[in-house]
Amino acid sequence: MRTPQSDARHFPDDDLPEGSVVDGEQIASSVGESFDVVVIGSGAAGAVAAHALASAGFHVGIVEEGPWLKTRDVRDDVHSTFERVMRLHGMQVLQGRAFMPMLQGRCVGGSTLVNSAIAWRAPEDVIDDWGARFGLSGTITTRALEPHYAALERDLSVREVPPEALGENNRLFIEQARKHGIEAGPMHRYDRGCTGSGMCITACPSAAKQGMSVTYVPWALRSGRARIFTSCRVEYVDIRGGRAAAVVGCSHTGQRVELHARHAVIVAASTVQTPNILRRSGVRAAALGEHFQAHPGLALGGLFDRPINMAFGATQGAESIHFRKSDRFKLETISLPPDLAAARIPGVGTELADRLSQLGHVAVWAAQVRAEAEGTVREGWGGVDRVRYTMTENDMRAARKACALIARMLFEAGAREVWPGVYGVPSVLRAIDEVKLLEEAPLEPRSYSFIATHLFGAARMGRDPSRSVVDPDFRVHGAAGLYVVDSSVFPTNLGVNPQHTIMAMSRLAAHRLAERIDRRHAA
Amino acid sequence: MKLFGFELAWATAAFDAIFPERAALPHGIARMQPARFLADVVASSPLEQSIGLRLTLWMIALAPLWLLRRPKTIADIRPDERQRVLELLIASPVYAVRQLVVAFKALGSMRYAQSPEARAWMTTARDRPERLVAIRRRPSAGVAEAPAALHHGDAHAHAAE
Repeated sequence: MRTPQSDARHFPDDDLPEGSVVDGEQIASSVGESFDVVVIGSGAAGAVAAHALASAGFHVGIVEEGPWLKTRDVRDDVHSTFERVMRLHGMQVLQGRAFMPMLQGRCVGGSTLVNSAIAWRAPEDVIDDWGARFGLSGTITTRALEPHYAALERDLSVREVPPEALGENNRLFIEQARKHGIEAGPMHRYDRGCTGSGMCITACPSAAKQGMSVTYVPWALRSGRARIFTSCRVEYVDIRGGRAAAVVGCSHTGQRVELHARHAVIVAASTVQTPNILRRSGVRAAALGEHFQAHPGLALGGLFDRPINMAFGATQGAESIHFRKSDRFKLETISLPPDLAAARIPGVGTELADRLSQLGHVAVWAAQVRAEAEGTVREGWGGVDRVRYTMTENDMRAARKACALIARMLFEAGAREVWPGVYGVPSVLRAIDEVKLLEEAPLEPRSYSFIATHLFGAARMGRDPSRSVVDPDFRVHGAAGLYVVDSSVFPTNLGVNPQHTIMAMSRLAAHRLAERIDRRHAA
Repeated sequence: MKLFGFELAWATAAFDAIFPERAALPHGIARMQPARFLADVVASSPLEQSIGLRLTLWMIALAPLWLLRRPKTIADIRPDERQRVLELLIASPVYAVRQLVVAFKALGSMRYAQSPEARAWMTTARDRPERLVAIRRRPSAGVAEAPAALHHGDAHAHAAE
């Protein structure tokens, strides 16, 4: 296991201004402070909003439920990282016909600390659909989002995975997809000097990945107009006289934390946590907790004679949206570290050991389905977040088609074994002819090993208060000064990785809020 | 929530069946105190997850009763029988059974990958194909087969991993 770094390199999350970080694991007495704006959450949405508002001259308080894992303390084993920074140590699941692991970062930077930093602008057809079906045309448009996307791309150094950091897993995928006539290429990512450590999932050891904990959060703190309260769980937003007045939470040490908001409270706690915070705050909307959507993902492994070496290269570096519209899935690569790969490789004992000893010869390619299914987000007994979600038959058809396609591509690329991970199909396929078994696999969610990483909806945006939770200006219907800017406001899923759009929407919301406050002051 | 001594013994036996000594990897998991690791995870996890992990451990421990039809726990049977029991559980037609056992395997994997030696071994590509290890299917001779109603086909007829 790699130990925390003791080298002399300087990282962006080192040497933050004194007093800018209030560590909830150290708070010994109750805290009460006032800010212009209080932001709940420091992930993609919260960090961007906080930075935009601090840059506009407002004093911002950020409340983050999890700790701050500094680059210097990054380790390469999954358990140590997940235990510290993932919600429920990575053991959170969507419940429905099948259990689906749901990975959410719970730390400064949120999931941007442990994701693959993939940048995609929202497809125009999705934004057009939002306009047509949810009344958002005129407010949430490609044109309105464009300057925000562009600013983010500059700030976070969005660029194509360079050839020297691509690695064989990604290169082979692109080569094979193109042989199939499938449009594919290197991903665009938030990257400032990726060396292909293959460690995106356990946090970047060199801060090359431009997650929020090494960019917008420290930048906001260094502006001198922001403070962050880490390891503090928000209980509710105090809404007085119809206006959001304060955020009330509890530190890891059990102390009350109350942050008063002079102008606004911004909720950016994620699709699962935001609806429950709103509910605990007294927001009552028929659509609250409804219309939850996801991109369920699945991965197939292939064992090759020649080296693949997933340990080197961008964790996720190649992709194809060729089937996004026609079949509602996106193809991607993903390099699994041994910690996670071992659980997905068939067999136990000597057979598992034989395969694991050849992990350097394994490629893993994946698909994420733009599922049409909708679920619900509720709060269970003891304040536990409960998400109920079951994929539809159409979703399963998309998943099955993606599985068969990936298996075929792996065999054609030279794999001698393919591991589909589909119950009802042999766990080891040894010839391309056997792919037909996958094409006829059951359309049963319990047969597949899905994982949910992209989450949407549950506090969705719209003009009609009876069908939505926030208005097109990100304001919660009927609660002045209370805004939601994370992906819970998305009326639908996207079919592409959402971080870029989450950030662009949040930046748009923050700029509009800043203008509104300024106008009010001027008046 | 703390694990009892007999539960730790079950956990050691079950993890040893997944990552045994004398296989193609540098060492087995037993020397890494996997039971203590499980106990720590159970102790530090939220209640629901702790209960789930403990339930899984009991299910694996007592599986020989119905899979092998023998009044033994996982700790009391031979290593090859333990592997067979785990293979059957992972291929179980009962969704909850196979999912929980895969989760248990995932936990063992996380522990095993914490070994620098094993990690280095697993992430190193062999330079020549002839140096690849031939994948051995575990011989089932001497191991009682499970009743047909409990599973279908061999361990690879269906997948859960």
